[in-house]
Amino acid sequence: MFRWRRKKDPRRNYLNKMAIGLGAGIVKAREVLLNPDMVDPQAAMDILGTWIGQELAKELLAQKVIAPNESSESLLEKLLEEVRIAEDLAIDFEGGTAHISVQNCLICPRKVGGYDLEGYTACPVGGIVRGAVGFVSGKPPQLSRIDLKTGELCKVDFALDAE
Amino acid sequence: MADNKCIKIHCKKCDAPIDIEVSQEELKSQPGGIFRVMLAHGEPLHAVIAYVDTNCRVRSIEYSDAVQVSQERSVTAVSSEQVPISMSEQMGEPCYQSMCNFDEVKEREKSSFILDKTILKIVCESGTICLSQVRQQVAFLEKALGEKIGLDKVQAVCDRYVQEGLIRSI
Repeated sequence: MFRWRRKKDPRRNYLNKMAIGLGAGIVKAREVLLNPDMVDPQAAMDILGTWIGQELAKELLAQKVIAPNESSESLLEKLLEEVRIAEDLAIDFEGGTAHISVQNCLICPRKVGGYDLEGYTACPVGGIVRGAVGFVSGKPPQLSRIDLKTGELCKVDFALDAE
Repeated sequence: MADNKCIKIHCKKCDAPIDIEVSQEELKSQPGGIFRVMLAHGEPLHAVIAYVDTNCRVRSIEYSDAVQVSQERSVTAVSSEQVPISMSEQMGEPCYQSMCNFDEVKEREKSSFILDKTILKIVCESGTICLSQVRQQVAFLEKALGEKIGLDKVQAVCDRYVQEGLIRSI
């Protein structure tokens, strides 16, 4: 018999939280996810990413990496620092819109994972950022434009002042 | 006619209730169609045009600017796609009409957020639809996304698609 015991390690807790968000998202969105007329791979990833992002934000709050009144800009910086979803993430605010540019993404299923996505996209960045910002601010931002060029420069626009 | 149905509408021009008569037989003979019933009345004389569906529901009301008296009742049928799905438009609620088929923009919108894509699909497949009905039809996403999808969110998406010329506001 083999038995391993490890103490909870906050630094490794993000992976656990991602799994929790994924599980919760699959259950809550099961009716939508199982209906191919309602959802395509990117839409499914948006939904699951939102749940994962919420869980990551909870962990950032629990570890006091962020405060409940954290600005969206600061939250994104700390999310990037802690979870490393990309090597280069830029955010540019224009009125109530945040333009996010992702270069050298580290969670791209196609570029990093090497999977043939059969012409689809399945970018988790938009959902994760939306879920995290929405959880902390209490107002899920509206994803107004997603322009994905996998492996190159992906852009996601958020309306941060959406109710 | 014994099978006439009397429908009450409110004329904004004279601020008075008026009755219009619609033949059940004529309604049934145009399945899926909308009857356009014109009635001249009031002082000064003006005409009200009511769009009535096969369930005798008034879909919309229009008013004429000028009337030449014919003293006759006029009934014609128009396509249901040309008429708002409810009276919401009259009540000041925005209504949207598709400018394209969803299949034509499916590829372009494949990376759009699920809410946006679903709203566009609903408007494209409905022909004409009012804001509250779009919201009603995207309500299934509330549980999936774990948040409330308010009218303002739906309207913001619709307005963006209006700006992009994929749908139009009527």
